[in-house]
Parts: sequence; structure tokens; C-alpha cells
Amino acid sequence: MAHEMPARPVVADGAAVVDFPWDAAEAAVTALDAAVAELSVQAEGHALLRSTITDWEGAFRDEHDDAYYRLSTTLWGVLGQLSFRAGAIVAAAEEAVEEQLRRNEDARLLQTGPH
Amino acid sequence: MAPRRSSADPAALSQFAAATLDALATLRVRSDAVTRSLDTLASAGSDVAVPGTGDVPAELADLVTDWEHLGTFARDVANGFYWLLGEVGYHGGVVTFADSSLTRLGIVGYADRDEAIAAAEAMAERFRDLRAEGYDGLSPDAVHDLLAMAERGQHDPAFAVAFSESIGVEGYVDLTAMVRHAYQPGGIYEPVPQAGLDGVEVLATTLSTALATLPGLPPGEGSAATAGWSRGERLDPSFVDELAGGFDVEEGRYNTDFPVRTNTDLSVLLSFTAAPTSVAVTIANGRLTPLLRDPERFDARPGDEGDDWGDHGGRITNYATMLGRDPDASARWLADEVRGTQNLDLVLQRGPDRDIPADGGRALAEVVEHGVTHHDDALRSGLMERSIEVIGGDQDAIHNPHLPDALARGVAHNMPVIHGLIDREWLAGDEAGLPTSVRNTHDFLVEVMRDGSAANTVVGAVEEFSFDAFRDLPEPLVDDAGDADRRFERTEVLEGVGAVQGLVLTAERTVIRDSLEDYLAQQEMQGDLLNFGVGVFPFGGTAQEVIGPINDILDAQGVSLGELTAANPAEEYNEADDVVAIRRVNNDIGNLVLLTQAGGEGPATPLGDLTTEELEELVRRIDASSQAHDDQNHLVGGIERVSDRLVADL
Repeated sequence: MAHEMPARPVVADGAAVVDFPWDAAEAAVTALDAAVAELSVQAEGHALLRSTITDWEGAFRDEHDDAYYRLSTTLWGVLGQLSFRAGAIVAAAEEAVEEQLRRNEDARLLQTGPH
Repeated sequence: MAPRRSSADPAALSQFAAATLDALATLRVRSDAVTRSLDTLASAGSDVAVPGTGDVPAELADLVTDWEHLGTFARDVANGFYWLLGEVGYHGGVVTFADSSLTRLGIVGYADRDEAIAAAEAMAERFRDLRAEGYDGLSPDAVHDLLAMAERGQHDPAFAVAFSESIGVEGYVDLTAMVRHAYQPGGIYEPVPQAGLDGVEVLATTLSTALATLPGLPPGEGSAATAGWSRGERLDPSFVDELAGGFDVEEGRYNTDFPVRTNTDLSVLLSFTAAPTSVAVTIANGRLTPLLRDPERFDARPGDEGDDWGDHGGRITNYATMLGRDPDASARWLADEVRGTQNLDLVLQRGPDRDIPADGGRALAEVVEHGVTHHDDALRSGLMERSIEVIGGDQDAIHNPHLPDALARGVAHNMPVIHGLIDREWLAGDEAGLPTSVRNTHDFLVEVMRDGSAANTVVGAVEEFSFDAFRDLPEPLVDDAGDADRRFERTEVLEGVGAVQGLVLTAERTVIRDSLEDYLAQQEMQGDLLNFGVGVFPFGGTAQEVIGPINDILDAQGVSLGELTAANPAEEYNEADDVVAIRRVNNDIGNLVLLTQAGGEGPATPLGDLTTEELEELVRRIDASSQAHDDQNHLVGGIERVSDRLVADL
């Protein structure tokens, strides 16, 4: 599932800007999501591909399948890691949004003065 | 126990491997994008905590590399089936072979990359143990068992890189030296037998596989299978620096050290190594060039003291063998300059006597031949021109007995160079002086044509060059009255071809006058002067077969073959001038024949291959062709202009 970055907040007049690498974060999430999608497609596609070589038998086939079994175990782990990393970046972006909104509110309070 | 067998439909397996590797190319792009974007993100500033890159990019890249390695394994197994089928024929479907037959080809590595790396580390560990045991643990069996550990891994890039990085260049040299020691127990110096050389070959194959993974190699040089691998998964470029001279093999070593390694050991290893082109050039510049530059340096030869490697004991020969495996590397190395001197110069100047390498110069000559016949016009012709300058300049000698043949084949590939070295203005003018380029070319051809086989190659090349030029002659121009005009362009081409012929004929004349007997002996035509005269140019065929028609052609030229041969009875074959005269007439006949045949279709036909009727028809056509005779006169003009001035100058 693709991750969605939060919309960048508008910075209110007089509010301190929250420094956050929006472009880099968006690029990273896009890259991570693309890798997740591609890896998932490949995992499914490879299962189909393997069905085309049922005639391959013998020691080398055994070696191949053993290696693929280990590889596929790693694959699911990496998939999870990629997705988790994308989610963590989105979470950081959301935190940046919240921080900006808080600073916007602080600025508004300063401008309107104490009642 | 029955041998284990593998079955597969090689076509299906090959398609499976190709589809796997193709799909992984996309995943590699995604993986690289993840690495780049997370690196960028990690280096950016932020007021809130941004998660670090962690191990994810490396884990993903590692996964892709593992998968590519697995796909390559499947491809190699499929190729193994195909190669075995090449021996018996393949008609499709599932086939079965013994696993041992597939591994015998030595191209199937490991399926699991981690397993390959573990195997490499185990072999490196075993090597270090064996080295630590010194002479006590060394035997042909021990070395054989150690090298057998690379049987599966030698073609596996993961294995090869891990093994190479683990033992380094020093380890490779030590292991090669240990092979030598193993076959020379107790200091008995016997050349290492074939079994030992086979072991070095396994080591060299492993090194070749590792070198193919080097990052930054020019397109087409490295292994496509490892193109996407990260730098850490490939051989470090510093390895090449060490191979090319950074590692001083004998520095700080004593005879009491084990193994007693020598520079020759490294050269033996590299003689079996198929390095990428640019790497081979770098190694040769670092290791071979200094050997050629050193006038005192000579190769050990079979029977010499310290002749441990037998026919493989010559360092110059070994490095030349490495280069000669790759025509591109050969040509590029020859063109390279090291400390202001071109490598080609060093090769051509090498000699005489013991300075000729252990193999008599064969390997170096092969390198030169690769250079002067290279497919790159500029590279090839540059090397040819430089060869002419060096040999035809002050040197006036070829020391390496294998070089004349190599250079003659170079002449055959570079006739436009020879043609171009004859100065047009000089040829058209009246000045008597001889341009340096013409003199050098003549002197070069003399040295090349002292070798009979090389002389035949040069003469054949001139014949082919002439025929090609005759095929493409510009049409004769006709003036307003319909008479033949000065035909300037056609005349210029003919005189240029004649000049090339004159150059070669004069060079041949010099050789014949220097040593007619040797020349004829080399031509294997000593027994029949007439055959020699007719046989060298333009085509083969015995005098008896073509004597009648040749007489007719000569009559048309106002020359009597009978007079020529009568003036040269067999016992006076050493009369060089007579041979030269016949040679000139013979050349004229050849030109008439070629000019006439060039008007038809297909290649020139040797006179000896023509029937009597065809010969008579050819003679009729020659007689009837005023154009051929007119063209012949311009050719003769070019020949005489060059040969007269050369003879006068010489």
C-alpha cells in the first residue's frame, strides 16, 4: 500500500518556519513505495516463472530452489522494512506539520495579543 | 552408486533465467533510487527527527544482488546443457546429463551467493594454513586439493571477488609459487609439469572472473552479470594497482622465507589470465614495458638456471601472451607511451641475441600483428606508420624472426598507408631527391621481405591492392573531338598504383641482390627460375601451363620470354639482375592480366586455374584492349619514377 505524505502546511505571518526536507522526504517515500510495489510484483511473477521450468530436475535444481527459499524469506523481511521506513518518514512529516501548526498558532497569539 | 543426473529443457531454462534477470534490472533501478533518496534525506537538515537510512538500502541492494546471482546460476546451467548438447546435437525437448559433465565444463558457480562467499573464505583460510605449514605440508596433492576448492567458484564472481580480496595480489603470487615448490621437492629444479600449470590456470580463471567485476570499466569490458553490484560487492580497483606494479613481488624477501616467490611466478599467473582490455593494458604498462626498456633484461629459457617454469619461464613472453589474448589490448598497449617512448618502439627495437624473449619472440610478434591489423583504422595505420619509421629509419633491421610475417600482414591491412607515404608532389615533380617517407618505406619493406613467407604476403597484398584500384578506375575522359583526353584523374591513380608496385619491386630487388640464393630458397622456387619468374606475380601456375599465352603477352610487349630464359641457364641462377629483370616483366604481365580481368565480374583468376581456351581468350582480350595497354604505360611510369629514383639514391 502506497504511503501518503501530508500536505505541506501554510506558514502563518510571523510564524517560525519548521525546517523539514519536504522534497527529499517525498522522493524517499516515492522510491520506497515503488520498491515495495516492484518487489511484490517480482515475488508473484517469479512464482509464475518457476512454474515454466518443471522439467528442470537434479542437483542444480535443488541448489537453486534452496537458494530461492532463503532468498524469499529475506525478501518478505525487506518488504516489511521498506514499508516501515516509508511509514516512518510520513510520520516525521506529519510531526513537522503539527509543529508548524503549533508555531502558526503561537504567532497568531502574539499578533492578537493577550485578551 | 549411480551418478547424479540433471534434466532440463535448456530452451525453457534459458528463457526462465533471461526473464528473471530482465525483471531484476527494473528492481535494481528501484533499489538504486531508494539508496539515493534515503542518502539525500539523511543529509538534509530538519527541526523534527527524520528516521535514518538504517540498513534498508543495503539489505535491498543485497537482495537484488543475491537474486541476480541466482538468475546467473540458472543461465549458466542452461548454457552448460547447450554446450554439452553441442557435442551430441540438440533437437529440442528435455535432455539429461550427468551433473559431473555439467560441472566438468567449469562454468556453473554457486546458486547461493552467501554460499559462494563462504566457500571462498574457506579456500582462503586453507591457503593460509598451507602457507603457514611451509615445505612440510606442501605436495602436489595438497596443492591440487586446495585448488580443487575453486572448481565451482572460479567462474562465480561472488566467490572470485571474496577470494581475491581475502588473499590479495600477494596471496595469488604466493599460491603460484607454492604450485612451483610443490613440484620441486627438495630443491630439485624440474620444470613444473602440466598438472601444475593446470592448477595455475584455475587460479588465473578465478582472477579473471574477479577482474571482470571491477567498477568503472569501459562499456563492453566487464561482466554484465555484475554491472549492478555495489562497489563493495566488486573487486576493489586498488587490486589492479597492485597487479600493475604496486606490489613488489621480491622486495624484502629472503631465500629462507616461504614461499620463495619471484616476479616470474606473477608473470606465469598473468599469462593465463584474461583481463579486461583496459586492465591488461595497465598491467602491461606496469610490468612488461620496464622489462623491454631494460637492455640487460632477458627471459629465462628452457635449460637456463632457474628454469622452473619450463616453456612458461619467460616474463616478457608471459606478459606478451596475456596481451596477445586480446587484440584490443595489444593495439592499445603498442600505441601507449610510457616515459616518452612508445611501447611499439620498444618491441621493434628489441634484440638481437638473448634479448629476444624465451619463445623466440612469437608472443610479442602476435601482439604487433594484432596492432597493425586492428579493426580501428586510425589505430592500425598509426602503428603501421610508426613501424615503418622505426624499422625503415636508422634501425634497418628486424631482430625478432617472427616479426616479418606479422608486419607483412600489417602491410596487407594497410596498403593505403604505403600508398600515402609516397609523396604525391614528389612523384609528379622533377626533383631527384628521395623523401624520407619513401626511403623509410623502402627500407622497411626490404627488412620485411628478407623473409620469404613475408615477401609472398606483401606481393599478394600489392596484387590485391592493384586489382581493387583497377576495378575502381575513373572513366577515361574524352575531348570534344571524341579522342582520349589527358585522362588526368585516371592517370594519377594508375601512377600511384605503379609507384606502390615500384616501391615493392625495388625493395624486392634490394633483397634479391643482397642474397639471391637465400631469397630463392625461402621462396621454395630455387629449382625453376622460370617458375619463379612467372609464379611470384601475378598468380600461381607453372610455366608449362601458361608458357604459350605468356609468350603471346610478352610478344605484345616486345619482349621475348625465350630470350630472357635463355640468358639465365639454371647454373647461373645467382645472377640477381636477371631475376630482377624477369620479375619486372612478370609484373608488367600481371598488370595487363589484372587490368583486363578488372573489367569483368568477380575476383581475379589465377592463370594456373584457367583452361587453355580461357588463357587464349584472355590473351586475345589483352591484345584487343588498347585501354589496357595505355593504362599499363601509366603504371610503368609510376613504377619507373619510384624505382629509378630509389635505385639512384641507394
